Amino acid sequence: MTVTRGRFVRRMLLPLLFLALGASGVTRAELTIEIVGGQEGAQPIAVAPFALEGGVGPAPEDLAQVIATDLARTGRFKPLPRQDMPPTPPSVEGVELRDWRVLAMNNLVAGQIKRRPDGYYEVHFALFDVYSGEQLANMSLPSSAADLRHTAHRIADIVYERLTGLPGAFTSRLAYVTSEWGVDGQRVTLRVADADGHNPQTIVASKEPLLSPAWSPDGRRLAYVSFENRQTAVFIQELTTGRRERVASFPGLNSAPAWSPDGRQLALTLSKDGNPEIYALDLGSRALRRLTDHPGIDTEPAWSPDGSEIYFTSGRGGDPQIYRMPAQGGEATRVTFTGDYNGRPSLSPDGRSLVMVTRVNGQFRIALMDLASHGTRLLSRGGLDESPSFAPNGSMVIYATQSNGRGVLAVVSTDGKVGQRLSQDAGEVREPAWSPPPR
Amino acid sequence: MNAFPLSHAGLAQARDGYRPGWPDTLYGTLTSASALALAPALATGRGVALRTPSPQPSPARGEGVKGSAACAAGSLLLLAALLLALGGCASPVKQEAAKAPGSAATTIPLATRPGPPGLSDPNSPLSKRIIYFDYDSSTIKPEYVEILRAHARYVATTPKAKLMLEGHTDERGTREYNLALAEDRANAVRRFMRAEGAGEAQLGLLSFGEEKPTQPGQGETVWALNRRVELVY
Repeated sequence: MTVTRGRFVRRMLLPLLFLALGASGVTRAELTIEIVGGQEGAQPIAVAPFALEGGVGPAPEDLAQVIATDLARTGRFKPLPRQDMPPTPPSVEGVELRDWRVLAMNNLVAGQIKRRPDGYYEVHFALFDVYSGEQLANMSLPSSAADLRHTAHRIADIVYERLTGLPGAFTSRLAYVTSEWGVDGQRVTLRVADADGHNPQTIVASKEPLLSPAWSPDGRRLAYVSFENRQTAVFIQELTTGRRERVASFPGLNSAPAWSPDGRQLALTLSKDGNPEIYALDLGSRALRRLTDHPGIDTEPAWSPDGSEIYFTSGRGGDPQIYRMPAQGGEATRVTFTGDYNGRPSLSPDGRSLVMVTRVNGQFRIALMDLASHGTRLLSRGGLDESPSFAPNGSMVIYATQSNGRGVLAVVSTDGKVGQRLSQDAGEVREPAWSPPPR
Repeated sequence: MNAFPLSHAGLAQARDGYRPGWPDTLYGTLTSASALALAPALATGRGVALRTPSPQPSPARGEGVKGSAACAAGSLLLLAALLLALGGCASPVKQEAAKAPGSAATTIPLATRPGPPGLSDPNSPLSKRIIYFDYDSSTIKPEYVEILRAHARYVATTPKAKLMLEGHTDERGTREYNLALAEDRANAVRRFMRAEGAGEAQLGLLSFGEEKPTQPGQGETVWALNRRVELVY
């Protein structure tokens, strides 16, 4: 960083904000994953190294390691350490299941990589039930060299789905905001990375705050709030081209964007009419419709997955609490009653529960609420936890927390049993948003 | 309830790598590099005052030092000297730099912005340009009424004056709610000043929520200093 700082400073002095180099804006600071919490009841599984067929030297990417780490992160699987494995099977066909039975493995993933004449790779893998000998999956996935890691995540998705009956979330992505202070002031970036923190790319960089990234339902665009020119505005940016559009820059607040499930509307908070209210912006016609009308604060809208309702935070009752209203606006019904601070709702993909920030004994924590029973469970133990977002399969929640006084991200399973922490070696990480399932 | 064990031992400490607009020297610790930068400024005999933060909200002490705007607005000579020495500051300060006669030191005139007279007179209420709020409240406290009234009077009688009201919160609570709360605070100040005669077009409003704390770290003392509206001419 020291080497590039001079140029960085000069660039920053010209415009307040510059767009990073779009798709090529690869950032070095990867998020490091640390798995926290027990693995009781986790299924033993072995992911044998994928050999490069007919090749000399190691495979270009350690696919087995990526798959094993993905599975371990869910807390449902306990992958066998590599040093405890018998010799690598030469091919899927050459697997000796008794070698793995001895090690008390339930399942085995074995595979190999073949380099094709056109430079592409063919990744062949099989998932075995070690005791019955049954192959639960056996397929070949073509992959470019650059996509090998992604292919490993796809295999992990397939394995997870075959063994749990639930879709995996390993090919999904994360959006998050980073902040670092240097002699030239603050540098804030909005980044997109793989769900395991790898492959981070900066999509916007600014000297002023960026916040509230929100994925479009097709996963191709992000809406976010930027303070560039010292004025809030809501932008929508296309990820692959870097092209972006300012969709709201009214006098006052322009914040809290949330896509409707059909991708046609953006709910957002504006204060142009006097105080913070929730509006729906039709992205086709650009028509703006006001949904709330109350002198208290109304903000942090979140759509129900069927698009019929909007949940939001309101200060109308004195304390911030979560309410819901029809998506066309209308009478709001209070949803949370326990505690003096409940805010920032986010609905589970099945629409049956929500996650929120709640204050318990002065500590701000993440809580999961069942919408039918109103039963609430705390998912985090920090003091300033915020910005919860569901994984696309609903099995986990990512949120922002602090570790040793620094902003990091944490992931927790919705049963609260297993978690991961994602941090950078420098600066703060915050405002996570988990992408919808890839299409 | 079985959340995984997260370590929060650092909660009571200042955050690592956290460098808001205040240089370390303002906290009373001079690094060798910044001491070198300060020495020539001291030699010029200009009024350099090392200020350390007081535990109580003290509106005057935040003057002109605000996050990334410090380069343009540094009203403390010390800050200006530091920033120049670090080479990280933009032209407004540098252009006004001059060689002090008979020494290799560079002095920097106090950066000023057009604002009301009395801005730098500690006895004038106009010198106080930050007011503080209670937790989750946008109510103007009685002790700040005189300050706001003085500014409103100045704005009302100075047609050219423009005043930006910048709202802030502490870090507790959700970011978007805090953005709205900070807006509410700035709005409360605007309503007050309008009632005291300031013109609508003269008052600008800006909410930063919890994004720009003046103080790092945690605890009620720090939070109290961050729950504020800054009056920026």
